[in-house]
Amino acid sequence: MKRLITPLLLILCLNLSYAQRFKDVFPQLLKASDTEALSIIKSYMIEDLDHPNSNLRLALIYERRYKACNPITEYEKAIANANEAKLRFGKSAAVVTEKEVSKNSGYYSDFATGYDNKGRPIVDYSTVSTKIRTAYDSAAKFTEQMPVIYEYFTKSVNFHDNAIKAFNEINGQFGSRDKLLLMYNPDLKTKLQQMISDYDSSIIYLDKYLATAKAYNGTAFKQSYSIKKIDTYRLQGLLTSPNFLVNKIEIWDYKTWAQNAIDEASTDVSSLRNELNMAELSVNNSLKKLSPLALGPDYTPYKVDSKLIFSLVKYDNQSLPVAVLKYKQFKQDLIHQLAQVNDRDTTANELYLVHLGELIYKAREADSLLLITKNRLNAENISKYPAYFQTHYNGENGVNQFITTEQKVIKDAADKAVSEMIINIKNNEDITVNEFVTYKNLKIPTKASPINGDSVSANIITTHTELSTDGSHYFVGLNKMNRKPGHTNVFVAKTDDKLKVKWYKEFSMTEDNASPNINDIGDIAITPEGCALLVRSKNDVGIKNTLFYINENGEEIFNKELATSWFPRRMQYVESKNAFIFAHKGASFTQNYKEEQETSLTSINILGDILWSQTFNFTGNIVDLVNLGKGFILIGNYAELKDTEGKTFRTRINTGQTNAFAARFANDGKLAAVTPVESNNNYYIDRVIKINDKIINLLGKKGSLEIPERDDVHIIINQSPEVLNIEL
Amino acid sequence: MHLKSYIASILLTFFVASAFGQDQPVVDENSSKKIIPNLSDPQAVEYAPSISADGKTMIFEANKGGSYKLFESKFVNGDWEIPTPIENVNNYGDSTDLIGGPSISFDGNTLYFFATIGFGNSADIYYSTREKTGWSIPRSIGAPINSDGYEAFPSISADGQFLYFVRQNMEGPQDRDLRKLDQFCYSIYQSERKDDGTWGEPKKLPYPINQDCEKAPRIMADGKTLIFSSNRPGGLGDFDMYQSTLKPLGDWSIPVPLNFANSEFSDQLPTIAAQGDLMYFVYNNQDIYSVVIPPELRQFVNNIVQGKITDADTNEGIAAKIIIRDALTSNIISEIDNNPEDGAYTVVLAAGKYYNLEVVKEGYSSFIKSYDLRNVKIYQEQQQDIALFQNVFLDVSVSDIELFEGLEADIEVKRDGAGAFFKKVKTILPNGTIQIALPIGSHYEFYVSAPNFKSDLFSLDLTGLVLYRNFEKELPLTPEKKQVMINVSDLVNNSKVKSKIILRNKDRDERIEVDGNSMVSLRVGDRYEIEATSDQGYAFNSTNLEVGKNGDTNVSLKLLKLDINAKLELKDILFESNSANLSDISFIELERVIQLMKENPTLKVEIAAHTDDVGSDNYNLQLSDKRADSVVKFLMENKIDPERFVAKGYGESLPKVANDTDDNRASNRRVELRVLGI
Repeated sequence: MKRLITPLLLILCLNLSYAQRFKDVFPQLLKASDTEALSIIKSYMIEDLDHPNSNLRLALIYERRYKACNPITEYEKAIANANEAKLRFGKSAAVVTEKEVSKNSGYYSDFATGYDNKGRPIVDYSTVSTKIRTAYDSAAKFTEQMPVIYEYFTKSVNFHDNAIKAFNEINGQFGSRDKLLLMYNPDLKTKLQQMISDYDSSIIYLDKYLATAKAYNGTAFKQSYSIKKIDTYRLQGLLTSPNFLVNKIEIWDYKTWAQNAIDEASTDVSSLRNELNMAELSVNNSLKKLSPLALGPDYTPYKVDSKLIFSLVKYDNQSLPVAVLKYKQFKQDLIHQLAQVNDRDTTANELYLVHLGELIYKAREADSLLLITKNRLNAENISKYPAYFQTHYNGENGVNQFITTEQKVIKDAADKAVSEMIINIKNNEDITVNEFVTYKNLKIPTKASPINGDSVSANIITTHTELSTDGSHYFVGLNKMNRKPGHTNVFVAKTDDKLKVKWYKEFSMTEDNASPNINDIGDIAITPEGCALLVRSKNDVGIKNTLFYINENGEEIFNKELATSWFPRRMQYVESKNAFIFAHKGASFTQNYKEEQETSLTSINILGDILWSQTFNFTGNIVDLVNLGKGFILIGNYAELKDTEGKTFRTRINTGQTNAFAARFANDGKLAAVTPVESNNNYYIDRVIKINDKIINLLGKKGSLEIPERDDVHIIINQSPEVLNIEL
Repeated sequence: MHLKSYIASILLTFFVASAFGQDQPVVDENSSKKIIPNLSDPQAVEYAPSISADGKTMIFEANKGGSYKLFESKFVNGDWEIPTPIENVNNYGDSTDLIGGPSISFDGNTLYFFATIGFGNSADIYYSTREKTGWSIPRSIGAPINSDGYEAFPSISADGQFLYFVRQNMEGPQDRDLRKLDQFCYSIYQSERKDDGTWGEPKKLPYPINQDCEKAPRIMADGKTLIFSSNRPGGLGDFDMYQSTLKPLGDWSIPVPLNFANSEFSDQLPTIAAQGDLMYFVYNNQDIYSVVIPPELRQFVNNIVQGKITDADTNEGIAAKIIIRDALTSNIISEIDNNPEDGAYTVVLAAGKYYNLEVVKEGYSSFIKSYDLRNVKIYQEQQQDIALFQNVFLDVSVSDIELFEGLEADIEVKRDGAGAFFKKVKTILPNGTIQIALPIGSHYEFYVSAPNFKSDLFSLDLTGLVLYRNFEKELPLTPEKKQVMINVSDLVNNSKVKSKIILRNKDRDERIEVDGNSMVSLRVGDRYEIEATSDQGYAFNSTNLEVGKNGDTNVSLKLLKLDINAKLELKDILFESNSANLSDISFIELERVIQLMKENPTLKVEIAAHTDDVGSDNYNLQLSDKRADSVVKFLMENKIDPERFVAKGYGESLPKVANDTDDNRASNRRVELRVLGI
């Protein structure tokens, strides 16, 4: 059945339904909402399109609707309703006649000025016609002008939106403004220029929008705008979209920002690139003139203008060109130092060692500068100076190649310095002397030999020898030739510079009726006055540690018993303080490097006064005490050690592993720094050769103290103590 | 409970249930209308499908266990999976309670439905949200949508702002014939969400939507297309589906029947995935069918943007607000909440417009992206996972404004207006940098200080839109300086000497060259080595200066005229203890001697070494001889003609001062340069 009901029938049906009913419909309209009223009127008007009051009512509803709309955000709805309103008011103007108003005044009660005595509304036609005319004009004006206003508005927003998006994109692309300036290229320039253009267009249309909107309706459109400067990159100027719907529009000044970027990149950054290019050429030119084989007549290295460095760093704190230039600038010094070494005066061996030491430092510094270059090498940093790197290095790969080549230059220099140093140290040690020096019928060995704890196997054994600055030699050791059987004496012999013994002295340790044994001479120290000896003796009463100080004629200046029972290990004379510093450690002749033993450090001046005393505990052994310009360094091997921060360092002592260490003390005996020379390998050191405070060689062997291996170990430290070189 | 509502519920239950047991309708084999095999249970009625915007989740009601409950199916590998019951929702009431009319929000995070809970109660609208473990326990949507009467078959708009549903039409159909049928009748209502998130008073949609008996409203993804079922005259039979569009004027267009799907039986409850090409609907109150919408009748094209909003550091989902704006006016079109459990979101964007999508969450960064769909003609899905962060990282680099070396500086941070600093950090050398993590949402002030540099401050406002995580701030500090007058004069007659001054900063890489007898600006707290040289026949001189804030501002350097027998004491020529080996510290002064010899090529000098009185005269004489020799060797090594030197040791014979203290003895241990010829 349903299929039989055609739309035509429906209309007919509706016609029948609504015919002659406006009178009935009207009361519903009075209480209906606009939406409901619209629905009712539209249904009614299917039958009577020209119905005057219906048309007017529709017009009034559409008028209310378009006026209620936000003409910008609800533009489509506003325009649609305004057009309808215009249409209906136009129709109303034709059909709502004076006669109609007079006849059906009840339908026009909205325009009533009062009511007559029958309760009917008094409606003045002119009121109705005026309303129709003005409302029509208003709707016509709206439909005529609003599209233009809306177009200006949306164009302004659209252009501004483009500028915002370009700005957002640039902010995302470049982490900082400086990066942006350095990576400025034609693409970025185009983007910035487009941003300026969009911004300008946006402002032009915004001005047009505001002008036309105010001209249209100054009361409704009260907007104004202000422009804000962008100061903080990546924080200011970033927006989701322009907010042009508020009364006081705030606009970020993308134009000035972009123009400043273009200007700065085109002028300051451009001239910076030129200066960089010139600096590169100059330093390359200077390097070409230098030879690592011979010293030139005058060494005047090229110095990169600090202003250029300043500017480069200003734009890029991690500037790759700065790193390259600083390396090349320093490389001049490295080559000069190589020349110092190669162009050597063979008569000055000590100075040669100094120059080798300086070469180690120069290679080290060059290496750290090159490492900075390497760390800064990435595509982004290359892209900041593409022409520079392309011209001088052939791009990123070229810089990589440059670094590889330079690493070899530095390594070769460092290797040469270290190998030459060890050769020269060994040459210095190979001084052959006679096997014995004789005093009367006594043959005193010239070579120091260790003793074996409490027993002395030979009648006379030299434990220490020392060359004095005046060319004389001191030989110190033990003999058993005392008249009292079983007693051992300490002897000291001094020769002249031709190894002729000038005097020989013995010091008996006999004390009361006890039968003493010397069980160690820890060390000796030569002073301008004579020689000092650290002696540990043992008798029935107990253990005694004594510092003997004798003058250059063999006369005892003093002997001072020390308040420690540990074995004496090392001693140094400190000229600047006219004092001795010495170290005692452990209760056994052979240092037990596997268990922690107390180390006592003491300083006594040449008058015999104790200046200070303190302890330094670690597990390991003492190898040497080394004087510094300020303070001294205790050097040894450790199995366990604590640094000044309390951090513990351990080796795999169960495998016999030890590592070397250096502990620096101030002149007053205070511990200043501890440096372990850590390694996974087993090694130990047994000798220390100081060139100067900057170069202190630690020499030893691989393996353990108990089972040494053949391979040598060579470590170089400085006074800090800082490890400069390790050859394990 | 009103009696009318009760009756309505019973009638609806009957109405739906009566469909069960009907013969399978004969479907035109030539049409694209198809039953969905996996969704169709021959023993049950499947009803009221609702599909998520991405077309991958369908929820519908079915009477598989007797009463109507909700079921969920996923679209996997091109097919719908066997549906599973939504237990949390189904178990909400009694097993006999009716639960039906689901409408899944377009983002898939909220499920609206109606239920008749308890005997004699009328249907109300409920909703459930998606949680990690499934759908939450339902909650009533409450007044003003729910009333004592009958509210059912909700449909939520894509932006979540409008809810369409039905209430009983007490007035009945307008059509006289339909009135005669005296059937249970509904009208379609709409409620708009208010700014505070609550629902507004529902309004009955006007003619031409509501006319006779209308039901099963479904608002489509574009928010403007409403499909509903009506028994109004002119249809193909029973209830037919009609589509109406909200016109720019604000009115609904005359509904057009969807005759590509309508039949003589009841056709209703359509749901269209965002793709817009396939419609699912209930055919003959029996089963869910799909039908391909003819291209010419496809009403809209949507694009889907979906993904997860997560915390960038924990990767956990976070609750955030998604704001969609009209890019051409900046007007907010909609604000959507994502799923707080896993951060999932789906945004439906109607093609033909230009959108800005913004994701915001208090205390987090924001995210913005534009979608220009003005020329888009096809359905597209875009995956956009969004990671928001709570902290930004500010890399501060503090440097020396003049030398551009990194500085070890203290940075104290406080929130704007706060009395106390909440963070104190120190920059790290060599670059003088530190990274500071700062929570978003505050305005920060930074006070930067370094010893002997002028303090400075800067601020960072993180209260606004924060899109980027990394910020850089380079802050060069200006050193405190003091003016120092450097006087250079003749040692004997005190007259000013034309000279050159080189100042070497011992604490940093600074080298200053000025003329003698001039003022120079030096850094407070730094130590300088000041060297004066003159080409007017004078030897060099040098001194050290530690620049204090107070104290002397004058440095006087006396230069020795290079006359025969003039003696210049060399400074800091040191040797290893009791040795003739030069200490490395001596090389600085010796370099000056080399320079002096080069600048005065006719100069011949004696290098004289002296000792203190410790030791014998003879020993000291030999020691001083060797020390003088060491100095000469160094000079020779630097290519100075050996003929221009005479090395001589004087031992302790010529003390400067009495050898009575360590300091005096140190003074007596010295090396001098005596002019032999010029």
